[in-house]
Amino acid sequence: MPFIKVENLVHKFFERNNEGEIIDEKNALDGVDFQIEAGQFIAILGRNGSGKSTLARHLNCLLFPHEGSIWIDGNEVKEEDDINIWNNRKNIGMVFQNPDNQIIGTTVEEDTAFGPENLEFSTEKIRDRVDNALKMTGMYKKMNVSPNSLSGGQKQRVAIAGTLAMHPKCIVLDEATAMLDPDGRKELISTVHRLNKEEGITIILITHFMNEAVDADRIFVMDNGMVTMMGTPKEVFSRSDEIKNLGLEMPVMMNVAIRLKNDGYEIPVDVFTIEKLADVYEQLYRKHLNGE
Amino acid sequence: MIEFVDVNYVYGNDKAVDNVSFKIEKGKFTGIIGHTGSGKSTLIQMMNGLLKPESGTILYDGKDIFEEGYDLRSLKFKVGLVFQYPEYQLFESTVLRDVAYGPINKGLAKEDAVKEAKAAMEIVGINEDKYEKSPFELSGGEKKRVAIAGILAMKPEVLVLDEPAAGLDPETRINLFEMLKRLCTSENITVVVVSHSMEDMAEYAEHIIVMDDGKLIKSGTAREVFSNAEDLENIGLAAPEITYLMCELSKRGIPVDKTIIKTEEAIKCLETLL
Repeated sequence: MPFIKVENLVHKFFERNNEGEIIDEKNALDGVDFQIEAGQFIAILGRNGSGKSTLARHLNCLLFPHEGSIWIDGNEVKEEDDINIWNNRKNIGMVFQNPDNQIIGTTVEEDTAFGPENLEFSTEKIRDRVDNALKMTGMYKKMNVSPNSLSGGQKQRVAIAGTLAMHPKCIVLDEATAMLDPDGRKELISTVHRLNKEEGITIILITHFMNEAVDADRIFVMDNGMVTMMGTPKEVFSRSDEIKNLGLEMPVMMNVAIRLKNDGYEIPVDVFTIEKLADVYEQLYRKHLNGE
Repeated sequence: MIEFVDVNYVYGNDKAVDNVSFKIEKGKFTGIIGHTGSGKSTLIQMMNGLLKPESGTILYDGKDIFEEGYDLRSLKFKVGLVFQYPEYQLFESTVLRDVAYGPINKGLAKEDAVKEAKAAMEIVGINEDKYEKSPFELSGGEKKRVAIAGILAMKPEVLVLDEPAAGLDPETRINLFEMLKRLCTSENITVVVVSHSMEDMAEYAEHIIVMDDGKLIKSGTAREVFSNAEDLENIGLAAPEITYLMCELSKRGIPVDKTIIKTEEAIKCLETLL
């Protein structure tokens, strides 16, 4: 059994008139199917309004299916099953876009302790979990600082620490880097990669930045409430025409490689890093110098 | 067009803007970059007199905007400010009424205001079938464009936007920047954009102002600013990816132009060498 299994998931949005009667409905999610194995790093791409955030809210049991089903860690999600829902919310941490809307504590430590305190753990256990979570996100030294004095990237790492203190098996980041400056984005992305590799936490990263998706194990592309593409970064981005039609863009390095290839140069196109593109270009260049 | 001379702004004990001087040229696309908390937002709120500096002078068209008798109210129409997430500021029952709100407030008759509103929506690409919709029915990108139209309808000479592309998908983001570029070149509107996207700023801005801890670190052409990756990294920023590629190739002894900051130029340069 995969860690997350989603089958024919449908979520409807209802439009109501002033009397509260439903006058129209639209499927925000229109038959979504996928499976995610424990420990994977998944990136979800797609234009605004394609259903990414609605899907994320289903994974965290903030929304429930109108049709279809979701299994998390072997259990089917049911709206009336409170215990199961609480377990899922503990198992699947969420980090949202705006760092300022997620902070509740007056210090970093207090903010991180909010979750475990609600679980009524012993003081030592809370201490232990908070310390670990802050160490894992590199925020341990800032423990006694007010969250207000932190940068955007640091605030998001505190938000991650808050979910880590619940010992989640998976963290869903819903455009968590959208408001960050370059350093903040780098910090956050390297933090989630480390949690994925070292702690085995499943990561689901929703983003509009293509270069954040190129290191994922798999990419899901959503459009119109459906997952329309699924595969490794190489598989997904090699369909460059479709990528553009879905409102996305090509990662910068791969874009350059494809352009060179289209102009007749012999160059591989599955190039995502600066290093790799420099390698393949250098080869081309040396060949050319040698008159080949 | 806009000139800051030794401008300071203080929040409590924090110098948010620390002795900053620069000029923004008429009809140009200017980008302001800097890490979170570097003073960018404070800076732009002084441009139309919304915030008053502690000391220093702000000139608009050569006139001191805080001098006695200066018409600050009309400056607010000349310098249109679009805040971060302007879509949260839409409030009217229909798109058309929302966009016409500004010109009506400016004192235009309703008919004329509606005319300005429609013209503004044409510029940002909001079609007629959206006029009578509730702003809340629109997509994120549409809401943003409606909010910008609301400012454009007041016929500003300068359009200042704080992180206009945050949260937009690539296609919508590119369309938005193309639209801003068009406003600059065909409508002769001076555009000032605050952004965390070095890639977008390298692609669209002609002039860049770099802020760090309230201080202006650099003011120059996009090429001057972005081809100096190390300086940018020292203050938590970065160069565009394509510039890093050029630097890497140059390090390997390939005679590429290290100061290239745009993808198209890079491709051209790479192909000429083959």
